[in-house]
Amino acid sequence: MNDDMPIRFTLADEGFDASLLADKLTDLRAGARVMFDGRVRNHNEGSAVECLEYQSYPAMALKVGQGILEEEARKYGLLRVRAVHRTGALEIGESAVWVGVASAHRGAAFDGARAIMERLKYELPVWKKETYRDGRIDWVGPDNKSAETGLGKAGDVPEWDARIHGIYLSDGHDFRGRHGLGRQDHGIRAVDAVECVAGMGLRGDRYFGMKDDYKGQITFFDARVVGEIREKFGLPDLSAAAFRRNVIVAGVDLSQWVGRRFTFQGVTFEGSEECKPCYWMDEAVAPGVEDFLKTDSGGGLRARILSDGVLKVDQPE
Amino acid sequence: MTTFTVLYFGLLAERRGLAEERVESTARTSAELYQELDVRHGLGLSTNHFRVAVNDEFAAWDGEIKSGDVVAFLPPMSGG
Repeated sequence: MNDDMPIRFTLADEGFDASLLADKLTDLRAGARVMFDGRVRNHNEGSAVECLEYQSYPAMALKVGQGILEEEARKYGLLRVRAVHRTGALEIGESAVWVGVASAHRGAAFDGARAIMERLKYELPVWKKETYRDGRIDWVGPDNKSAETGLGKAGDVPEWDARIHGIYLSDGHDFRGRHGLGRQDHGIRAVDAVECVAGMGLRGDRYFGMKDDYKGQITFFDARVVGEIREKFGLPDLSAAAFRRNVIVAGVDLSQWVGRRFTFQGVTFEGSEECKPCYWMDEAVAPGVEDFLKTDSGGGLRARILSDGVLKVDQPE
Repeated sequence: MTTFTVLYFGLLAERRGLAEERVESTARTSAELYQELDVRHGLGLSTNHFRVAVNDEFAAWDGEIKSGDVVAFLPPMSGG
């Protein structure tokens, strides 16, 4: 691979020289460089750490890491990005991960470097095994909790820390099954709250009770993406309703929840699949939106409803 | 019966005692395959709490798998 690529993620199975990486961030358009150096510390959750080891899934880690860098570079307007994650055995004080970015101004550089680092922690297929001074060994999960405690226990389902900007329901299908026939025009209603019925869907919505175990009982869409499309397509007044997804949420990365359970406002859901954008998006919103959602942001999350409850808008737009 | 290549990482690799194996199974989805292996080897994690990849791409647990697929069980990741 060309080592002069402006954006590049790599894995290193032995110590690396950060000054060589920093050199790769040189760009005369850049007024700011931010570099983060994550090191092995001598304690975790109150236990003295002797050493640690990172195992990786290289084929996926390289692809996922590169994808994160490219997505965040686009989002923050970063000119150059380098990141390296170590694998193998590490001593206390060694660099485990290094992220460096260059951009025109410092705001984007700080924010972009931070965003990349947060995503690497949760999304990069690498696993940390700590050996403690007292001889215990533990596979560590995200947030440095043990991967065993807090996992696999019945009822222990992670909770979304997110806000609802809007909830939308529609009585009928505008697009589904109408290839070649043109859209219909069922109204879409903004509501302040909606009843979630386990296994059925949202009461009053077109997909309610559609079929057993239906994958799309509820759809979530990221408020950030609504904002990006308004900006990119010059549609400042575009309603979030135009996407025909049910719940517009802020503060959660929807791509992380396919195949996982979560609770949100006391209701339990299970992500079933990405809500793939289709060509109707260009008609429903604006030409080019389908491709934008495919390449950048995803079309949202489809989920099953596992417990009854009510979702309420708590941060109206 | 179809043949899959199964990859284990982190905690799951340790519990299984190996990182990779070929598995003959009638499973049609990743979830069914994991459940079968969990029963056989006592892997112990619930699919609610970790992710699966098929042929090096994140996948849905209820997505179909076919003969020759590489199915990787990815316990919660811990980079950084």
